[in-house]
Amino acid sequence: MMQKTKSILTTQNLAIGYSQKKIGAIARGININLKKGHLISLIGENGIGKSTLLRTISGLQKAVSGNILLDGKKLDDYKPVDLAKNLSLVFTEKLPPGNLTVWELVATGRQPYTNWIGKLSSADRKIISEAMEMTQTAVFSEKRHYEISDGQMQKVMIARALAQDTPLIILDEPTTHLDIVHKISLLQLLKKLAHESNKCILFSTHDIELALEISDEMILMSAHSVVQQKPTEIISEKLFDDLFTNKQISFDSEKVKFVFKNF
Amino acid sequence: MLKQKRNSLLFILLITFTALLFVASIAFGSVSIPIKEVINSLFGATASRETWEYIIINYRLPKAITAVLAGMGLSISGLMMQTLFRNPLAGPYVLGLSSGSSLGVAIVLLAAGLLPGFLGVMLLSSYGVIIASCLGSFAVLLGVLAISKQLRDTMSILIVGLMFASFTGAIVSVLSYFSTAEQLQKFTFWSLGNLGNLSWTSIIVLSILVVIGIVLSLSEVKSLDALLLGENYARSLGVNIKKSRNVIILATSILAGSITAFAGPIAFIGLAVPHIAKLVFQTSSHLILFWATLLFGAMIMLFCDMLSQFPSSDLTLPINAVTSIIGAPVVIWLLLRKRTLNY
Repeated sequence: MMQKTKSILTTQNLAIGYSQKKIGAIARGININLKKGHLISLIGENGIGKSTLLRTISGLQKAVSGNILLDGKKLDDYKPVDLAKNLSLVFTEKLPPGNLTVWELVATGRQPYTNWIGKLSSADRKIISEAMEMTQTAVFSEKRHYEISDGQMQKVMIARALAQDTPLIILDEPTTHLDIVHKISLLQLLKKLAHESNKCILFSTHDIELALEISDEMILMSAHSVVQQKPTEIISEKLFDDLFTNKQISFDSEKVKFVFKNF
Repeated sequence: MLKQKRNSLLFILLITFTALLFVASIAFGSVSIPIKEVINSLFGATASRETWEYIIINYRLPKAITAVLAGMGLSISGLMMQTLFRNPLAGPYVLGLSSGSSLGVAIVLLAAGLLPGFLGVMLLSSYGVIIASCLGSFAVLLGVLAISKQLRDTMSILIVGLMFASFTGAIVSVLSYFSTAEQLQKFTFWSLGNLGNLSWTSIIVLSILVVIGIVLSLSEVKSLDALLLGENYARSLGVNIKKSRNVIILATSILAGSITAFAGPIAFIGLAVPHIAKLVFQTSSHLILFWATLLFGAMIMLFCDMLSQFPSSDLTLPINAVTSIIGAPVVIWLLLRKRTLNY
């Protein structure tokens, strides 16, 4: 049990945003704690700064102030390759056109571990096939990446992140382009990976009701605060009331659903 | 692994064809020399006629080697530029390097008359042209690097390169407007490209530069694969984008700059050859494409060189014209076949 709750990434009084410009920080005082073996969802309105937070804690963007500790060490102190061994990312953005096959795509996940010319060892190949087995993407491994559906693509990108073999995986809105069946199967896959391989998986989403059911913890971003809690406590403490600036939307804790007033 | 077998077979074919073309390009020329004699002289034995040996060692061998070096260097820089700029139409010259070379040479050839006596004569020597061309492309490189430090977006660098190209092109036009017919002829002659006329010393210098450029390129093969996923994914895989970008720009400048300096601007090879390699090998893996592009580059350049030289006649076409005449239809044909070009 001790091992399961070991934290992998923590932030201390983090402020995010674009420090060069006058607008300054878009969110301050962020204290979150991401633990191994947990599936954590990040919820908030459009434009509240979810992507900025994800980009900041994954090192793609500088923090305005505060600290980010990855495995006890400051994020800025990581060399790019060492960071890539600890943290992998899945974006929603479409891949640029190209001829990569699904297998080649997953294989890029091994880059932080291969030599200067990128030669894959047999151990690398084994990890790649395991990642594809776990995500059920092996069946179309020889297809070009533009020949598969959005749902399959998300799974392939997750397989790629698994091949990167990092304790922390961060996904930016992985359920966006999917229908309800694929949304659920994707989230189930993430939960399985978090629990079975003891990884920490953080994802942002707008599917709040699905996230409530499946997440171990949730991070709520609102205009005033960033709160991290277990789903049950979020409901009992009525934390959703603050989530949307539009007061016509409220959370019905009995139905576990968002409802509109005056609808 | 059917694909691996296919690739090995293709590589063997490519190497064989390149070697055959290398020998053939030495054998055919204004004076025809039997292939047996060519092979004899190449392997150190004496040819039966002294003139043949002289032609082979001092004219045709250097020319064939220059063709191989130029073909390899330009094609590899094209491959890197296409992936870096995510643009199938990028080539070694998108950064404005050849325009920089042209400007350097134009200043020497067209404006030398304005300088006092001996300085003008010194500049007009063949080394003056090479040095001016190197300085020109190097100046553009420094300009592009300085500006790219301010720009985070790789696409903007492409536009900066194009702007440099138009700017230097305009200055060349102004210079040619004010120059004499004889000066203009010299400049036009340079701009048509020439693989011959290189001394062995020049070949050694060029070889060293091309090898440096190719090794630098090889060291970026892994980052180029990551860049296929876009810059965000590449960074998340541990690629230092800024460093990779600078190494790629530096390697391209060394390759395109030195080749342009010694052989004049050679069009289309850098653009077309990577697409031919991608079409034949059907892969995006840069390690495979690297060797494929290298071999195709050498092979196609040797082929163009042979076409430019009609066998047993004095007639020689300018190499830049031949590569364009072959290159442009090839790119159109590829587009029609594939509908889209990848990078």
